[in-house]
Amino acid sequence: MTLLKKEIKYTFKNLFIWVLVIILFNLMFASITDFITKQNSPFTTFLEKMPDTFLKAFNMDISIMSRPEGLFGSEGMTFMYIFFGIFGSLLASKLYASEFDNKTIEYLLTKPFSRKRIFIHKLFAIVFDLLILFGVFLFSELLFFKLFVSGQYSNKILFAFSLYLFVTEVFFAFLGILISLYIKSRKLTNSLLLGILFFMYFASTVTEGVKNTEFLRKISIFHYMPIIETIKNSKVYYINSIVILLISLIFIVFSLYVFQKQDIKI
Amino acid sequence: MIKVKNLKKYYGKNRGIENVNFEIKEGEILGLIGPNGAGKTTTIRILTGFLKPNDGNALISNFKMPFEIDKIKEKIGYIPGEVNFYGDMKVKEFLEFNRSFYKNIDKKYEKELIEILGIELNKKFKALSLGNKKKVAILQALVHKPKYLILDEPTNGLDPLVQQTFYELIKKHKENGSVILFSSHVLSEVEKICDSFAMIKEGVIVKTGTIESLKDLSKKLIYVYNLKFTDSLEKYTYTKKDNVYVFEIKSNRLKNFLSDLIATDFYDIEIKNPALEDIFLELYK
Repeated sequence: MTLLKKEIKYTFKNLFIWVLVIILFNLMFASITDFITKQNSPFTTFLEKMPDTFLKAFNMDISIMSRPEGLFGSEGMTFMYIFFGIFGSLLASKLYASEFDNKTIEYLLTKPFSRKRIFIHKLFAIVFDLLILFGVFLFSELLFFKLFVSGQYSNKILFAFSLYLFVTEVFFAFLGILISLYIKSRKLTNSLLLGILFFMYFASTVTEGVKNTEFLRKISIFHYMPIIETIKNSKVYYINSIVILLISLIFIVFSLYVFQKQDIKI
Repeated sequence: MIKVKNLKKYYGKNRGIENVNFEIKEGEILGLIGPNGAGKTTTIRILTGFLKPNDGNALISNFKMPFEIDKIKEKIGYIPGEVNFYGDMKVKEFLEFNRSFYKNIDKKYEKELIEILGIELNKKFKALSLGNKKKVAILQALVHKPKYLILDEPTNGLDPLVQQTFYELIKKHKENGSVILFSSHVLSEVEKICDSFAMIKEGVIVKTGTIESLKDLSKKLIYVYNLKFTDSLEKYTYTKKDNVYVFEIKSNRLKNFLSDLIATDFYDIEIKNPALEDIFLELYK
């Protein structure tokens, strides 16, 4: 059993639970989509009476609410962004910070395995889990929409949702690795990451349409993967997603540098 | 060879170690002795590649630690002071995991170690007692027959029988030419298995030498029974209890003392070497 296999095995139970949650969530949403979109008229009338800022704060837009992917984007994606952010954060702290917390890093570092290889094996295990969750989301989303949704929808937009979620989990996982290497405590790393996640999410939604808090939105990754615009304009924000992935990659390069150079005090 | 020269490590403004020097040759066991917080673990952490020194050199087989540790890790065995392995792994899974780091593990030797140490393979690591955890730590350090052994208080938590087994294993590795650094604050075990010592106090090496030379540094205790005390013995330090005089005589004054003693009348004498603990306390005053 290599380090990579050990890490995949170590995270398997968690991954299984998350996979199950994602499948059930997609199943639930897809299966109620037709029912809700058919009863959309009174809901739209209700939304029309709401202030625009209020709607934006809750990730809603009247023009997309009658579309199947619009309903999922407005409601489901709110949860999914947070779910995937939490998954990435917890995974990073589980594989990196917990080695310091449990002091097992002492064992690893004395084995004939360079710090770089330790880092990379752990990183591969994380990427493997992130890809599995992304794959499961994309597959179950497409499958359940095909099975349960009779109205017109765009697969391109459904793919955009998956892409944005993948970017979110990668960003928080890679940021989590960097924070883990500095803080070295799983609990503190989790707290900090969840703080950043919620701050970023609410900074991008709650402050939507409020001019004097515009700067808060700009430091949030969610601002650059706007669900409403994606659905309205049928546009996938590939460039923004790639830029966020590149920033995440910078976190990784810097984390590797830190891990190779730092004193390990246990 | 392990060679530590003018090694210095500060944690911010706090001194970890300063000017630590010692050398361990092939087939030699050096006891690094000192109380908790003296700097033993800091020295070991530099040798095992965890910490970078502020100054000086720590060499294992002429590779500079921690910078070139990857070139020599395969040949190092390490027993940590506090054993922290993966709690949710069964011991047999852990051993399989441990094997994955080495190109060649002698499975016969692994089996032999499991039997000698009495390791329980089917228990999860977190369910083991401190002593059993230590046994697993011993196994993972010795199983690849390392040339260099770094042992940080390795017998903590072991019962006397397993301790004895452990000493024998270490002696075998020594006979095969291993270079062994044995950190401990239990001086009796250092006395039992080490060839030389380096005594560390507040981050600084205060004494080095052979175990015998360490004893020579100290005063011998001479018990004299039913002595007719004379003025010629007044110049020596002594205590008296009932009919026994106990003299504390430095080795270099022993001859003179015995001449003076023979000139008096007494029933019997007994010369005792002090335990290392006594020497340790003496040097630490």
